[in-house]
Amino acid sequence: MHYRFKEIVIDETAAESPLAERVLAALPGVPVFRGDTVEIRRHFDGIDHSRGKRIIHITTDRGHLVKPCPATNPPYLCCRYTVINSANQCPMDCSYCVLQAYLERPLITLFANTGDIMQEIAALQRAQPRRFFRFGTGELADSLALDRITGQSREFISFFNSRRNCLLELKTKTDHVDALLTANPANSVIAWSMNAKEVVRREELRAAPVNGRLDAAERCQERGFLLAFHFDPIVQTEQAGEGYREMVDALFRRIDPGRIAWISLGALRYPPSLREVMLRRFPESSILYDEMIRGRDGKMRYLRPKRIGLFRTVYDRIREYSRDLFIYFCMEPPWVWDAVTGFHPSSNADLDFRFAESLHRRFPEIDMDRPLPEYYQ
Amino acid sequence: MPFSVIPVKEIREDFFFRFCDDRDIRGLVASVRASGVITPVPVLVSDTDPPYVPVAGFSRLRAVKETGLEEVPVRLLSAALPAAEHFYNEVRIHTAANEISVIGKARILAILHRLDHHDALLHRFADLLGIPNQPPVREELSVLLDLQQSVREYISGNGLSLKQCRMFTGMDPALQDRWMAVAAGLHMRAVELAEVMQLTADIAGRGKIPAAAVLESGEITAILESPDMNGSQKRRHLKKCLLELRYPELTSILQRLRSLVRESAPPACVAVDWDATLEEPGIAVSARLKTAEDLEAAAGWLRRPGLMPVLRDMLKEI
Repeated sequence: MHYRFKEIVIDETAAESPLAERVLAALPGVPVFRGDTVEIRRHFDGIDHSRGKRIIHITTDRGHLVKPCPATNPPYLCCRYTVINSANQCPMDCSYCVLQAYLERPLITLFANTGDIMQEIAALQRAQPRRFFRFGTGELADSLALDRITGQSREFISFFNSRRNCLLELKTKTDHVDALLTANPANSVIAWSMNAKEVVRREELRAAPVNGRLDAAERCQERGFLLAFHFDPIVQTEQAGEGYREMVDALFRRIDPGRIAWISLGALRYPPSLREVMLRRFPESSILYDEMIRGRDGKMRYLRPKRIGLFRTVYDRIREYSRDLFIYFCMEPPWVWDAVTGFHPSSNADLDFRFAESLHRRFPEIDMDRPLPEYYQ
Repeated sequence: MPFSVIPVKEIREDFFFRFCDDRDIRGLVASVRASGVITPVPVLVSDTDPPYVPVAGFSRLRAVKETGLEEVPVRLLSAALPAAEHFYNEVRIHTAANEISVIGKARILAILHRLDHHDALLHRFADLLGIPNQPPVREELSVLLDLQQSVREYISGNGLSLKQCRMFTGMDPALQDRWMAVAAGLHMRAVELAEVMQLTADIAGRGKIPAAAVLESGEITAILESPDMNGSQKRRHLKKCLLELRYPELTSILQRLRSLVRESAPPACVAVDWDATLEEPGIAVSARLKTAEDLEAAAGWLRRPGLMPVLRDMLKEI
């Protein structure tokens, strides 16, 4: 998938950066606006989402670009992922995307100070040297959507190649893996957000189709990368059961469970403020009219019995292919874990530890210390 | 500042600068009839025919027309200042008195668009009106002027915010009027109206039917037209009915739970409760024991042979 951009905006702090040079070289002929932060803010004041997705904004941020995943509040369990916010926003347009309500300005913002990000990662690891960290660039952006233009992922992969006790996860809905196929796969996990074909077609505008994602995953598998899959958001539809079972079957027809580092399951959830944006931007989306309640964390969610039903469908099908695969739920309470798996982690820290323990046991090639619970408190 | 008395017929009737809402002017008419116009109407002198263009005082002018007065006192605004500047000053007086509704703000922006150099004016006026000078906001405001008269009156009369007005945008005109009739009939405040309108829109969206069809359904019509309920009862029943239609699965589970509680027939001192969103599993059974009789009743209830299967059924549901 190629995306068309209408403008490149370069903050003066990033004007000389290699990232700006790469983007300008990759997008010849696209108009460029240069200015300081105030001028850029004024220039794009009040811009709407659809236009923002066509503008690349290159800047720097001296704040914290590496931080714990915002997660959600108890009783919902979260996995203590660490996010690398090297980019915000994405050129695809999923109706349910939380970034529509989350980001202040909808420009695709790329942070050029990659060196600072790497220093932050190193500092975080120095502070907890025996803990195993999972880092990812796919929280506020798609990790690979702009990789053909930015080349950022290769920089991160090279950085992580030689690091101990950590993995980098590049999470995407694209099939943009060409640049990865000549990279060293050590310590990197390439992950795909997966969904039933019907949901992809209806709700994930400009994202790669399921088969395209699986083609790309297969190529990464052949290159030696570890893989991960996020069945998130699982969306309730009339054919949800069949749709998700088909997706799981399609996945395991092509991917070796022994090369999957983890699979997450998450049911559709969103902050109430997103609904207003969706009503404006995607009034035809049936997601808007699903029966949802406001969860304990304030997010809109399907009824618990409905979520359990959806999770059981996917979880049980995955277990038909592998008993050993690490499967976790994103933002679900302990009683949902219990209802689906018969077990729940005792805390977020425990879930984090179990991640590390599974990786250590299943993938001896990962350069990591034997995980001990005391380092995960 | 020169004052004068001019014939009413020399005042232009298009009310170019009128931005305030129509208000009840019966009191003003009586006052004008008794004492005439006390505060002169600010007017610009133009080279058109008729020559006087009022910048404010539109209610006074309406009152003058109703009373049939032939002359009106005016304050002649200086030709040295552009019309927009005089307009700005009048708007400032009204904003200081917090008198401008979002409809009024929308009208002011529309007036600016008809003036020369309106882009330069927008920033100042937006500041004055307390609205962000952003195209989407201006667009949202301008759309309000296309709403039905009944809706515009409701917005102004109830002091709705721009955000609250969103419930009407894009709505079919006939449906706007229908909702206004419902709001008037049930004496609905904006918050309640927004809630039932949203529920109705969601039910319609889910069923892929027009919202009007939901409002015209038998259940809703029966509530709205019931002669046995007052406005407050109708509001309550309407909301309950819409909630049941919007959340059929939750409603059905809750109804089954309530039916099981009835089947278990707990004494008055025993309460059986659960999380209304079903997000947390389990039921809470509690007893408030004030007397020995309460204790007997609660213990007797717990010993009832049919209780355990009912509680088990409840746990299955939840």
